[in-house]
Amino acid sequence: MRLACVTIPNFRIALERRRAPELAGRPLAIGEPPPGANQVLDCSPEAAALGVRTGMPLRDARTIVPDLTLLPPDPVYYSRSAEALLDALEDAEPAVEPGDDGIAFAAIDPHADGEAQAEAAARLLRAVARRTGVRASAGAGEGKFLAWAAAALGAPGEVTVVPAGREAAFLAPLSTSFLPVSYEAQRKLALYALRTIGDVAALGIGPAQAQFGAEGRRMRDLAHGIDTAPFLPRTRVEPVAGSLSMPAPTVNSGALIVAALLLTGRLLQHPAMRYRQVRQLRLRLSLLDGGSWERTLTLREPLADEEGIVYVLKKLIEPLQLAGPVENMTLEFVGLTAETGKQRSLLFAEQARRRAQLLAAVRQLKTRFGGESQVSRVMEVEPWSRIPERRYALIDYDL
Amino acid sequence: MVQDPRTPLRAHRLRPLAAPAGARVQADECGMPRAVAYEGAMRVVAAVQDRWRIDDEWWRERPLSRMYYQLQLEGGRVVTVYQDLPGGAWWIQRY
Repeated sequence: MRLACVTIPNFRIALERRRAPELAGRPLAIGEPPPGANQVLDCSPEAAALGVRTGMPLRDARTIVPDLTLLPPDPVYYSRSAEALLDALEDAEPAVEPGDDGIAFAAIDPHADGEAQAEAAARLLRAVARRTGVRASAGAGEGKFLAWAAAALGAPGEVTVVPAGREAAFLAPLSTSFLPVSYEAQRKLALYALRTIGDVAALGIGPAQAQFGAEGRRMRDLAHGIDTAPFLPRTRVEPVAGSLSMPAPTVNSGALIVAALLLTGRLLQHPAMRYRQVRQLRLRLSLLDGGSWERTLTLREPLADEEGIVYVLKKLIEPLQLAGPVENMTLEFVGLTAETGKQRSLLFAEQARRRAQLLAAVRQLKTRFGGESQVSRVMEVEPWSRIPERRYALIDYDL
Repeated sequence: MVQDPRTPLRAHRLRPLAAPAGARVQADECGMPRAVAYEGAMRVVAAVQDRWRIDDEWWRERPLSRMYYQLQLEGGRVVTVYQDLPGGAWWIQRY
């Protein structure tokens, strides 16, 4: 399949520099300070040239480059920017698949000639620059690997098109480090002195499989420009999401769990959740110092009950060690099932009936008097706090 | 009062219970409350039953520092007020 790939090298660094242009040209790294992972997550080419590497402990990075600018990660900003990147690409081409950080693929007309394909890829670049303000490079070729390799070789703003039939010749001189294979396979490639993709292409299928197992066949196919990975364009789904401002910035897991409970209740009342269950949850926390935290959780089985979802969120929140107090929480139900029915326990039928009656009464009050819920309930937030107004909170009873 | 650094409150929020309300307090030269505006009139403090200080969130840009007084007003009513030490404003704290 003929694909175009758009790539922004050091995506997170590019985004940080977009919002703080004064960081341009300076050695820059993004790392999670303690109590987080305490390692470099991404670094600029200037920092890499001085020896900083992804995964390196922050202390080592600071020792190697004393004037290194170290920024805390802002995953919420990054994922929103990645969404904006996909939206920009969809302005130019309708079918777009997200790849890793700062990489996206778009289907292009397979019957177009080289010039038209280059123009299609250039259109993607212009759309990205217009919407996100970040300069990307683009490549076009048969399959994802080839399109990505072509894009990765180009400088920002450049388009590289690999003509049909020239795939193996284009890839042959490239380093084997381009091959998307495991660390172990890369190690073996180095041991066997297979330095270029052309060296891998020259291997017989038998020796390739004998030495590298299942990966051997795939890397040999890739070396010949054959990539069978399917193109899966993203489908747009109406997000079921809600956000909540904390009464005061907090690191207290109790307060965060109460907030998660409130949001879960609200989202379950969303019309899109009618007869549906949720497969994936995304929790985003905005921190007081401007950083953020984000996790996406895939549930073992789809859920549509408050207790089940809150239990999962509780397990996520309780051990959290955040870099700063939380100002705002956003919960998103990402993967929804098709409409489905689920038998509920008959033992609690009476309890459920009363709750439904109460909710109906609350909704009636809300309709009658308008605005916010007329009924609130008291939740313990930080009952041990020395500050009285932090101990309990009122939450709307229209869950 | 310590300036609140929060983002503006919206409909989807947790509302703190027992939030303090601004108070009009007359204090002597030592800073001890002598009269409190309560239920529409200035009421003289009959006795200071207790006083304590809370210092918290010292790691934030605006740390929290309050001097609390539990006061018995004329007529027997007991109220708790505090003075926000960085700003000097007085607040009535409900429990």
